[in-house]
Amino acid sequence: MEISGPSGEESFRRIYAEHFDAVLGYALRRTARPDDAADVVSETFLVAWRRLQHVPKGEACLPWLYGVARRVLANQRRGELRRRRLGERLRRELSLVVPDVSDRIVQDHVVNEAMSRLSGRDEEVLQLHLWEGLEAREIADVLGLPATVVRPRLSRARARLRDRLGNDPAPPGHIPGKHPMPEQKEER
Amino acid sequence: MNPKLHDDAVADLPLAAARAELLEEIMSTPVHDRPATVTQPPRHRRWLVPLAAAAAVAALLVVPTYLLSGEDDVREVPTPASAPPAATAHDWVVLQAEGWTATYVSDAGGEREVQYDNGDATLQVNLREAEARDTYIEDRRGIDHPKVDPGAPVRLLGREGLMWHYSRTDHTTIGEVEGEHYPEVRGSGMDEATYVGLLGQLSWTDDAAFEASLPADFVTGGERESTISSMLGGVAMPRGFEVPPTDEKDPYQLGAHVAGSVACAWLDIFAEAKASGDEEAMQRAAAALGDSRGWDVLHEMNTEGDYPEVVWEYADEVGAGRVPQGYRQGLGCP
Repeated sequence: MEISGPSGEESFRRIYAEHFDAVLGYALRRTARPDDAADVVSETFLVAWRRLQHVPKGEACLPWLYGVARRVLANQRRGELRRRRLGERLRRELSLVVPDVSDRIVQDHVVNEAMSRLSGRDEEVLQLHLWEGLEAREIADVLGLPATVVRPRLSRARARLRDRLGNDPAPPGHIPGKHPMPEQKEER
Repeated sequence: MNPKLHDDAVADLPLAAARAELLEEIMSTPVHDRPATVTQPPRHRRWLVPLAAAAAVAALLVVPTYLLSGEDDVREVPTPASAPPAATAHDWVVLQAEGWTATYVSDAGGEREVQYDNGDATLQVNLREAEARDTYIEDRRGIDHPKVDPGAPVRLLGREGLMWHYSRTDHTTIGEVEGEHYPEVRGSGMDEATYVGLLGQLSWTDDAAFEASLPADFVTGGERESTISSMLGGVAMPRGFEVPPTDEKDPYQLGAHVAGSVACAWLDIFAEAKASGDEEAMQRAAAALGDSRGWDVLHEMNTEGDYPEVVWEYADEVGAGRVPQGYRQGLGCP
């Protein structure tokens, strides 16, 4: 894909329009402050813009963006993400508008509490499954691992969470229909 | 803490102006794009890091440098997958305790994992890259959030470890770095005394000794070649095809490696043939993949996992004349 020229710009605008909310949601659910979430979003799309020829088309695009956001987040947690002047307005406005509502959260605190008691790796796989509504193959894309490694990991993590809750958690927090719920088949 | 909003709630946030401004800001930044350098994983690795993921890692570590300095030089970035194997004698951690058996072994993504079971309880041993240790310790200190638990000192593998409790019957301990890795050992379904007793029965070992400790259904180095040969029984292979080298021990994962590499080779042939309009090669590949429903190796794996389903799903796609989207990543093609 040529990054320069109208077709590259057009395809980046489309990626941005289609996935901005999903990437912002991902970032908000994993950061403590709105301005941190704004930085993750800015940096993620900056990488996508600079690496446009590497951004996969179609359904693989969003897991790729989540994969980038995940690394941005890791850098941020290690204090390695420099705050740019980019996204100043998003930082400011996000701080004003992120509402403290309880009826539109992605999982109740009981599930989140139970999830946080799993190992960090299990928790991440489950968050991608329950918060982003991703299936094992998409989670594999985000984590850069083969699906054959992620499937049993997700399956075991789900079983561990079930043990803690006594039942299956509620459906994922994505807009219903946007990402189908993976079948609840136990896999190795 | 940010509330964990649904995506539809996120979409309703009144951010149109900020969102549009950020888009223009990003698109006005200069682009010094060039192919990212992807390091080759060593031969002992089963899977290549997907190109997109490796490129993203490279991009992230590179972008800030040349954005701020104006350089557009892309450094070669070692990924976790390209770390050399750990020094001998610190390859694996083995449990030698009556009634306990290894049931799962994984060596992927720079991390090694072994799970031991005794029928009622499990002991999970993870070897992670040394650089991740601090973040995991910080995470475990917050297990009882908002209380901060520094961890109780306990002996692990001859050195000082830190132990935390998830519950009365669920404990975890992080040990010291040895070579490239540090251990974390989690015991579920047992009380603290039993768990600490098991910690004392763990020891570091090299690859050969670890293989020797595994139950018979795991595949050791000496058995690997003959096991692979028998897995390939009745499987049509492309001319000149060879199974890529592997250190896989878990029979399911070895089956995925063998069947997957054959399926990948046929899928590659089909995709190339379709692109060049070579009908004969397309038919040959489609027929070979269609036969995958008869591959014994997949039927044996099918009781344990879904890898065979994925191969068959792709075979059906090819049978219908289509190249399955994302098949190389779906199967973890070499």
